[in-house]
Amino acid sequence: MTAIAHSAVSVHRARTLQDALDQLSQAPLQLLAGGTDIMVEANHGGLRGRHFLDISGLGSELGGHSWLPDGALRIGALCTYAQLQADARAQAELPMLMAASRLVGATQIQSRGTYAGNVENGSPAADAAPALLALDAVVELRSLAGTRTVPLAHYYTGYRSTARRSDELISALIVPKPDGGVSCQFFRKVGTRAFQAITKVGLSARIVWQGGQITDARIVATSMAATICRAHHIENALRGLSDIDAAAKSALRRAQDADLRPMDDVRSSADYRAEVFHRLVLQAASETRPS
Amino acid sequence: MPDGNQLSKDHRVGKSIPRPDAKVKVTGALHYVDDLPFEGLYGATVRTKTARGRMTGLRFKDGVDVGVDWREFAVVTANDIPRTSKLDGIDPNQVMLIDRDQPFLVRDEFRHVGEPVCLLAHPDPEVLRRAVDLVEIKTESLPAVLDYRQPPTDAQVQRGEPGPDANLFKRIVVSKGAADEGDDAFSKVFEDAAHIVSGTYETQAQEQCYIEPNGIIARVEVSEADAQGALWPANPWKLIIEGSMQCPYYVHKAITHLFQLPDDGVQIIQAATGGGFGGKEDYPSIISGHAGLLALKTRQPVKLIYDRVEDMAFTTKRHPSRTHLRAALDADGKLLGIDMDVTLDGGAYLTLSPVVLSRGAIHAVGPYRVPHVRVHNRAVLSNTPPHGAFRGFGAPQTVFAFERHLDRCAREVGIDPVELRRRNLIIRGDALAISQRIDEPIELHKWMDEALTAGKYEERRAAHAAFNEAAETSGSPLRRGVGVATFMHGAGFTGSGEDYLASEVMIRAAVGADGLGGVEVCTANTEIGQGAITIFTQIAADALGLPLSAVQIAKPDTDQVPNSGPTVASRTSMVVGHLVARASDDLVRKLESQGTLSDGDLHPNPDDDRASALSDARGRKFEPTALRGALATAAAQDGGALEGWATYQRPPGGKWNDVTYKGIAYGTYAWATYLADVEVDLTTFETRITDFVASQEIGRVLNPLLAEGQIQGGVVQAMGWALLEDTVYKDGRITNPNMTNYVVPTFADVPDVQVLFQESPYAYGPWGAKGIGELPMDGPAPAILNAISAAVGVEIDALPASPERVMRAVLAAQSSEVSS
Repeated sequence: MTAIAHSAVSVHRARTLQDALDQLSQAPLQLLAGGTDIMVEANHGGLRGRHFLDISGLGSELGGHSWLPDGALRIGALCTYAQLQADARAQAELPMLMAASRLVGATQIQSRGTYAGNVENGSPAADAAPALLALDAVVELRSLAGTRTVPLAHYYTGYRSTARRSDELISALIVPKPDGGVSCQFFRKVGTRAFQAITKVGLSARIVWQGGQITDARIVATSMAATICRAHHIENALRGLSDIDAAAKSALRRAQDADLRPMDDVRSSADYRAEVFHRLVLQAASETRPS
Repeated sequence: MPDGNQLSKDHRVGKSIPRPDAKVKVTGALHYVDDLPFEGLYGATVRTKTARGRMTGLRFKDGVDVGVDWREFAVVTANDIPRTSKLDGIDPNQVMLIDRDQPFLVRDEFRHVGEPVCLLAHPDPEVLRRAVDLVEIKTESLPAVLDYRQPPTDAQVQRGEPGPDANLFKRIVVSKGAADEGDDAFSKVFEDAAHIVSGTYETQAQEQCYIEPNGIIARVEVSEADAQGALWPANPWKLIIEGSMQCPYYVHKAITHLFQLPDDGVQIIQAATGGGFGGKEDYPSIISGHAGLLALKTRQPVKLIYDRVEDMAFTTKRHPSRTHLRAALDADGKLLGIDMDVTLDGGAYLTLSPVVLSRGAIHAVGPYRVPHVRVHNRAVLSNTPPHGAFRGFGAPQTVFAFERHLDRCAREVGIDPVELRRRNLIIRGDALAISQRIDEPIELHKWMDEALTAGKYEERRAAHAAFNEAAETSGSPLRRGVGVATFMHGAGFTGSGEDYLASEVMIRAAVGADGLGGVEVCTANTEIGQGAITIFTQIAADALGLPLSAVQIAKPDTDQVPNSGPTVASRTSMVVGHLVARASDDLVRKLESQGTLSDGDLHPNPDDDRASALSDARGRKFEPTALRGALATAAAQDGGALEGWATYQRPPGGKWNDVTYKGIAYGTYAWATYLADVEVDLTTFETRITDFVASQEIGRVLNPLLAEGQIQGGVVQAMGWALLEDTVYKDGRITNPNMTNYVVPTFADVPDVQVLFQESPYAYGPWGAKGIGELPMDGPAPAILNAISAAVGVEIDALPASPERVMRAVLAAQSSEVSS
């Protein structure tokens, strides 16, 4: 291999899922589906020396989405934001995921980008992955060794690292039918501007109210840690609350400090993230409360 | 000069004629510099990595493993440039602008991150990019100024001596009334005032974000004897520069100096240019020098194009500023005195900072009658890339501070901010802070009221008060506010600037595409998206009474067009457009005097609607068919086509005094009131601009669609500055030089911008037109921040009014309320 070839980009285009799994079993390759995160790096020469497995042609095996008999949604690895947004049932049952999908980049990005890619990319500022996490989604992984599933809640092992082995690819994401109906779903992204923005702080929540008190909660934070993550202390502090009074607010803030230590970066600051996330939690609790 | 506001119906001026350059732009057929057919080498720039130091050496690291073979490269450093020019004895390695402190290539000391040290050329741009990373610059570090607001330590002084003038680029003092008499008299104004209101205001650097990054192609023509051998040719040679730029003759001046060439040894050609906003005023001179050096070294064409990151990280931006303001008012809210202290961050070299400072100083106190004024202005050095020209050119910074301060004053006095403005706006015959008496027929109160009516100011004030009170009660996080800014912008160069420029325009008889006689308009003013080609076409057609199709606009090329000055300072339509009309007159007079046109060709019903007080509408007196015939004859005459010329002539009236900073700073001003309506969400502290009205008096609207676009574009650019755009520096290095993290507004972030024009024709602009390019950059930021401050009940005094900044101000006010 010459020096120049060594530093060039290589792309292997998978013909079938079997071919893709064969390739992955032989060498670690970076998966390329929608390419919307990868192409950004290409602008700055950042792809030099990297090797890709292009699975974008495997639509017949990995594309589309389907509703399972138990009401769960199965999102194929190549299902795009635009495709799922065109599904009326998704719009009706999963408003938080649809709200997140609408805020991914622009129309062009939504037409190319995939949910699985968003999950695997592992950005702490991801748009769709936090909504999926708040919906208790499960990641389905395929390799020559077979299929296994990992709850999204356990999928991230660190900054941009995941539980996927190098011989595996995400074949689907499975979103169980959510408890509590649509009124308990809350999604709010605070970006650097209205659209085409990266999240400075975001909350994806499911807060279930029953008999005047909160009985269950999923609180997922975006851009508040090295990965998107659940805020378990906040979830615990919410459970059992019937009134968001001053004491509850300060308990929630203390819980947040135990869960999340946001950072300063080029887009925002730790103090802003902490303050606004707290306010978003209060807003979510208030807006999900049955009137 | 037009009589009243109405133009006769056959005029092209005043109508939204389509842009002659629209089709090639919309279809993509137009070639920008990177699209031009090119065979040659690619150039790249190796830059310093730290804010200040001394270069001790260069090392070209082995690059075999990444395909870099140094034998294939041309390398240029400062050592290739002689230390004294054979023409004038000055160091050629200095960018000729106002001062000569900035080198093309670092010889020894460097003063900012990204300063050019070494140039590389190679046939393969990809290999070239890898090579840049392999050049190691050995340095010794020196203490850098990373915050322009702090006085420098002795070791940080890089200009002047330690003391009050350390690192000072320029100081300007505007003074009026008691301030002219001395400190005691001026202090007394404040001692006697019913109210003294103080505030401090800050603005940040802003990137121009033109769509097309900077880029230049350089070619050399050398004699056969010089084809090989020494870098610097022994025989006469020529350097040809083509690229993206606003000011071909600025590049010409810089390049003749660097290459020690006579004027005709350098040819500068403007390629189609995808936006400038000031960002391509002076910086293309540096890139041209670099591309030229590589072309000279290799005797081959060299293309040097910046990518977005390089362009954003290292080329010029708007000057950051800090302003302390103290106002003295009487019990009724009448301004008695203004004491203002403005500091601009010039960056590492002087570049254009003195003139940016000057424009800021002159616009600082706005269209208000203030008897006693002192505005102390300083531009200082810091170790960042130099800040430079950007639409507004110093005025947006001081207008922001002043207009923000008026709202604070109004709250202190206890009257509505609009009422405070109404009590202080000038009327005809009043003088500005620079003692320039405004004798043109202004009606600022009426014009302001028209803007307020269009923006439903009174209704909104009342509705927002009720809305905010209800929100407070219900716990809703939304707050609403409306804010206003009233301001002016002087068009053309400041003071005596236009006299020094002595711009010239030439109009040549030509044969059009239809085979009939017409004209070619030759100016050095560039089409950069603003519509210069369209406006010049309209003006020449109207001055001559010819159809639009009879007018062609020459490509700006210093071998072909006279120096009509730079495309900056809102001067193209007003100053150069006026010269186009006068050169048209000259051409017709020459046709008459040489007998090509005769009395028999006179129009039976001549239209003598003159373009200005200095033009005679000669062409409009002739029958168009006869005129076109005469032009066709004159185009084909022996010795070259007949040319009409015009040279800048200062309008009658007073002069400007550069020492006292008093007098006629600008021949005229455009006057404006802008209104912003906002909603702030106290959950996220985000601001949404819900409505915006931009109302201005601009003399004459030459092309309504272009003028509206110019205003809307400027307003949106200013909205970005007001709310979103921020340059983040760490150790003198910008950390967000990309469109992902340097956030400009999209359509979703801005409301529809309602544009209103008033017309009070200016006697020395073409058909009364004043310049409008920069005006819309001045007013939006203070109007928006006034609205936010009204909405949240806390003064927001720095830009951008990001959610983070609004949050801190609101929380700080809440905690001080709790503690007090």
